[in-house]
Amino acid sequence: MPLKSIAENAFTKIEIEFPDEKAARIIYRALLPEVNSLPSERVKVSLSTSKNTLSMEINALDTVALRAAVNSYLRWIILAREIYELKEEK
Amino acid sequence: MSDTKLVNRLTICLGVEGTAHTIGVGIVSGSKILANVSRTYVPTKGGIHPREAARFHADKLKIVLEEALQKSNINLKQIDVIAFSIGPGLGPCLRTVATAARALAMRLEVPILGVNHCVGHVEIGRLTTGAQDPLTLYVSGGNTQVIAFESGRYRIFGETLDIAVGNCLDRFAREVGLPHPGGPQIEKLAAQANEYISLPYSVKGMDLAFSGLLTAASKEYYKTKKLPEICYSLQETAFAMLTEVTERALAHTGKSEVLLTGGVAANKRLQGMLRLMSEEHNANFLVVPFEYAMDNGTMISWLGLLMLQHGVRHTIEETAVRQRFRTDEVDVVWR
Repeated sequence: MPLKSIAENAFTKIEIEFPDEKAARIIYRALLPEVNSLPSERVKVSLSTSKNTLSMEINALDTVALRAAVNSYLRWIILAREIYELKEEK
Repeated sequence: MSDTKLVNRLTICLGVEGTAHTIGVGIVSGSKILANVSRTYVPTKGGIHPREAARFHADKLKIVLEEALQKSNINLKQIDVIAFSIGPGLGPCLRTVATAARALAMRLEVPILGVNHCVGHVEIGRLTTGAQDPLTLYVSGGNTQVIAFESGRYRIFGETLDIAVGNCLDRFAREVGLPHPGGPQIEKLAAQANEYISLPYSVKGMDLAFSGLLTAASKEYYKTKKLPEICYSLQETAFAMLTEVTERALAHTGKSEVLLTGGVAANKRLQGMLRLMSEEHNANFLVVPFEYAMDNGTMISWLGLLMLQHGVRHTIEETAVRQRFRTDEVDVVWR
């Protein structure tokens, strides 16, 4: 008999503020193809922007999948932001 | 940026590779390679865990990028196009690189191109060896393919039905406790022996299978512990198999060049066998220099440039990764 996870259904909403609207918009567009090509039915992600805030809602069948998705997306957001903030001059 | 502007001066392309254990950035200008920088993830034990490798890529990308810019003495503003390895490869790794590439392209307001990793290997092989129209044996930890250009595409004339030859060598090395990377260790031990122990030779038509060979080699080790002899036999068997399918494809396609690339191309014994076979068919045998034979960002940037200059365009929305992107799914418009 399979183990039941702590939650039957797991959900999180994360909002991240960026320095400006352009940054939020670019990072949103950079992530969108990932959201639109999710590898499994276990997790559903939706993204949106509003001014300089990026909002992410993650719905998962269990907390294990939720944690994995949160880790992946946060890592990608951090990386995208790092790239976005690269200085052009040395 | 208009098309005329892109074609009339030397276009600078920055490419990012990250399909498996290596994160690489390469920069090309015209057909000149300006930089090739990479870092390879080495697991503390076991094989490549996709999530851990992806984490490594996310950590190292900025450093590798900055080093490549510094080495080529160019500024981000001078980059005209961003290319990245869209597949085939490990899902988490591909997605990490894709997201970063998109962010970079949008930040710089330049076009983005998702390129096929295997085709990248072939094209950088042609550029660095001068091969015009070779039959290519591409052998690495993740891929084993015999590739030749035919009717507008790079066709796969033979491939592994199960695991790549590099994977077979790496896993055997891991199984018997050899340090990483396993391939060179096996090569070193093999050179110490010349007694051939019979191991399963598996060529099926134009294709190959290596997992039976891996199992048998491991079993033989547990039985006799004669490691140098087993390494020797493993190499002889695997490489003879590769030589056979390459030879068959060579005879069929009538190409006059044989090109060896991928991480396993560094193996001198494999080079020797293929060289001998090529000479028997009056074909030139060429080996891609190691830094471009292993996974690298330069091949991605070079392929991106070729595609751009022949009118290929991708929108950001079209750059979803393709884990199972086949070599022959690419429309080779630049040849």
